[in-house]
Amino acid sequence: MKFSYSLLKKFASKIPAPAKFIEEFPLRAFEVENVNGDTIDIAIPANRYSDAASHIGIARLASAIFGGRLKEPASANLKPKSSSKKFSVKISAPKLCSRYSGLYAEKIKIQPSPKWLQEILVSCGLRPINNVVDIMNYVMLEIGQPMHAFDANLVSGAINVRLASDKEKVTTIDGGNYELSNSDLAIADDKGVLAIAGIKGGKRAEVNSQTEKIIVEAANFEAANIYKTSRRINLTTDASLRFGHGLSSVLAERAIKRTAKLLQEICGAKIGDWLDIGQTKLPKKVLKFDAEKFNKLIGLDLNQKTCLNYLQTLGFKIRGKIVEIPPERTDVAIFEDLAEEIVNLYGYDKMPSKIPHVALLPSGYEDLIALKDKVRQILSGFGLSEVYNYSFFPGYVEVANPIAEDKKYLRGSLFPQLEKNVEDNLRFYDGVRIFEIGKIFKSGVVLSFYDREELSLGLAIAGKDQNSLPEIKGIVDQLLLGIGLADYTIIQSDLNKLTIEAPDHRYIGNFYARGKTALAELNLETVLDLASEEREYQPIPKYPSVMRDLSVVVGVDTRVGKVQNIIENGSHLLDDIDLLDWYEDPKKIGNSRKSLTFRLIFQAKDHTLTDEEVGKEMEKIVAALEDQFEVEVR
Amino acid sequence: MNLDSVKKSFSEEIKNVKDAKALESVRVRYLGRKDGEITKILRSLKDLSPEEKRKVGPEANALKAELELVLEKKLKSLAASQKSSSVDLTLPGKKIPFGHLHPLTQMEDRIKEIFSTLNFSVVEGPEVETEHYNFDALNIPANHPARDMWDTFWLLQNEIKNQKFKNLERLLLRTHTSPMQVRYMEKHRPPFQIIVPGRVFRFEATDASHEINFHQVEGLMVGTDVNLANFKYVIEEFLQQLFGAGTHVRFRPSYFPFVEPGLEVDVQLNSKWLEVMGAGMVHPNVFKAVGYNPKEVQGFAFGMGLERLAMIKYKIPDIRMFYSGDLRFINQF
Repeated sequence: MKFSYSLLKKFASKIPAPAKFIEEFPLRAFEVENVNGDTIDIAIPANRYSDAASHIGIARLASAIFGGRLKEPASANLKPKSSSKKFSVKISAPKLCSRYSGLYAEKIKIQPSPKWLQEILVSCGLRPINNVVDIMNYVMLEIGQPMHAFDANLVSGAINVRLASDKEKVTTIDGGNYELSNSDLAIADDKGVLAIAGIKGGKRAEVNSQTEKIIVEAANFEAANIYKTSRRINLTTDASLRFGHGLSSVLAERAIKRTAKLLQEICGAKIGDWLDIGQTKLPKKVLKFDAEKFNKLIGLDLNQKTCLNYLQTLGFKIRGKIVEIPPERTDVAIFEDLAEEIVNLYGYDKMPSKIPHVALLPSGYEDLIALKDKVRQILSGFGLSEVYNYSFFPGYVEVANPIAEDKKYLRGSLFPQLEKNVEDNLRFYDGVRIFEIGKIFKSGVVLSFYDREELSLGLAIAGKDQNSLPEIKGIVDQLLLGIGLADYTIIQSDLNKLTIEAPDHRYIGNFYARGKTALAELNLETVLDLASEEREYQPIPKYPSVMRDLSVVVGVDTRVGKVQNIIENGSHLLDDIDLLDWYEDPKKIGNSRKSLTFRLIFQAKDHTLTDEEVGKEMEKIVAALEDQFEVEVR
Repeated sequence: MNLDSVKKSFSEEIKNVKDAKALESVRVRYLGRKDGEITKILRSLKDLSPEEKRKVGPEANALKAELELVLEKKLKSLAASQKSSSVDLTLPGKKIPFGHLHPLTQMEDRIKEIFSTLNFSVVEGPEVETEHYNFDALNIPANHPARDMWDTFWLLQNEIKNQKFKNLERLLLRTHTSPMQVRYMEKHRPPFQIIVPGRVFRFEATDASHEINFHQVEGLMVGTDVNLANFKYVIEEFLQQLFGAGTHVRFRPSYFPFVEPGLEVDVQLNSKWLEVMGAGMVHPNVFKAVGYNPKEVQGFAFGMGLERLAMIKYKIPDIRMFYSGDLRFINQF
């Protein structure tokens, strides 16, 4: 929000030069974003619009920080009347409008406003219009209360604060046309809407060059309602911003008195009646302050008097241990709010750093986090690099307010983005080996809250000219062994897809091959469930093992997995099996045939195997194979 | 021979030595116990006048030491040249494939490591959240501009029943990791200290410093008397471990609805102050929302952006690079 440095200086004489102000004000109050000539851009926190979105508010803070007395602007000495012959007001929606102040003024000559006033408006980013409108804006800048002036001659009957009727139309002073709903608040007269309450004035009773008599409005509207209307009709103004954050109704009365003074001084106006209806008396808010409690919360050692002094400089009234909260401080409601005021003024730079004294309880990583770390360690050791992709990708769960057409859904798998990563990187590398750990999102029947998303591990490997599936299968196998999951089966579930299953048929993950890219995706939550850290010592074999190679020629459609499976189950003395080599060569072994060479390791626990024994086992294996396929043993 | 001529002829001979055997014969000729040239000179010292003795003695001994050194070096170089004829040791190292962890993972790991040494536990939470956990329980009221600090992605047709409040709740993509404060406190009793790394989402236009998804690390420490000065200690310790001892850290007032007092933390790098963290003392309304008695417990919470820290630490100019999947970027870390 833009402020005029010269106006702040008028209220807080000890405010330092802009360069120093921008340095020091943020350390005790709010961030200062920019300084440009007379303009100072200050970030007003969302809970401080009532007291600090005004020059007097910032000056009050500056006086408390930098010292000096706050000099408040002069006001007219006015008393509200209960009725007026010139105009009348009523509130038909008291829940949405807690206070409405109307001030009548006449004998006005519309002119440009004086130069000093225009300059302050310009510093604050507002455009000077004429003396009446400029005073309204100026008072808003000074006090923080949005104001509006109607041409009294153009208002028919009583001013009524009421809900709009559905589709009621209004043209605003800037020529905008809006259609209101029956939840929007309007300022109306007998003829219809005069203004969109708290947001923008209407064209019909606008102050114009012929205006001589005006009705000034300073009201208080319910914040959430103004906020909703402003969003719905997509119109944000200085007024809607302030009302939307919530203002104290005390500002209305201060603003009316100040406006009266300026109308007299600048326009030579004759001030008429002031009607002030609704909640005109605010209940006093008080809190008990206890320095001991403060020191316990903040970790300081200040005495009661020092603390209360800080509050006093901010305009809090002190009676013994009781602190009376200024009415504009709508943000202060509990003890901790007072503590914040004190520690801010005291300064964090002076606050000591204290080592916490706590019970020594064990700390650690959640299991799933530890698993992720281990997976990353193993995979990077295998030479895979880690990528991060967006959570948005065509999937099953739809976003209600997507930011772009291609970001309408949450990803349901890590595959498509990894495939894209591979493709992109192959432009620069001969081979790509990557992985990603991230959440994927499922829809359908949701069993519990957490079932909506699952933690997934995706891997992708591609070389320029090789089948990467064996490599990725090898990596996944070693990975699962490394994290303690040895018991699983791989089944072919589709033409180019394999499913990894637990012994209880739970889905662990799958492999997928597309062209030269091989991919794997694992559900890490299931992996965590199945993995076991427990290992048990197995005696190291006392007797030597025997190695035999077995070459078979089978039909080209025969799946290697099935052949290997039969061999594995063909002998109880078989300890390990590896596929050494495979090829297709029509000249050597005929059309539609392939040759497979396995290395078999035989081992007995209690004796050294003889050639004869191993020969028998080999015969058993070959017989089992011949039973199932048309095989030729070479 | 005098010392000078001994030195000269030795130098000539040693140059022509090609193997260990020839080297040994040179050694015997000059340093041999019986007839070595130096040995002879040293032996002849006894016949010289005391004056000559004082002059020649030390010179002869120095030359002896020098020759021994030269012989030793020559022996080593002969041995080395013999070996290098069979294996070329200058062959370059083989390129071993090496995987790189994403820079955000590395930054997160470092943060987890530092907080682990401070006895913080590490937990995570869901990315899809309810309005209750993301906003209401954190004292962020509906229809208040304060909520505009978090531009939100909402999910379509995915309302779920909130067990606690028995009404339908709107689902959203969490806008910060703070909902885990609530979830964790609902299930645990103080004292505890945790950090919560995780992905968060904001409905906003992307540019060099804004992304629609990014990562935060939340922190929460609650006990009976955990105070703001304790926060200052923990965070100074953390930031100095992360950015180096002596890094200047600054604390200043700020506003977040779920803390009171609220503050922001800056670090000074290259004489510029950079904002790295929002924080404060947990608001009593948050304690009430999780069923704690705010009169009995107090503590602090903080949150920081992982991308921002990584960008500062590794001097990365554009946040979008983290999500490019480009190995030319990732493999630098």
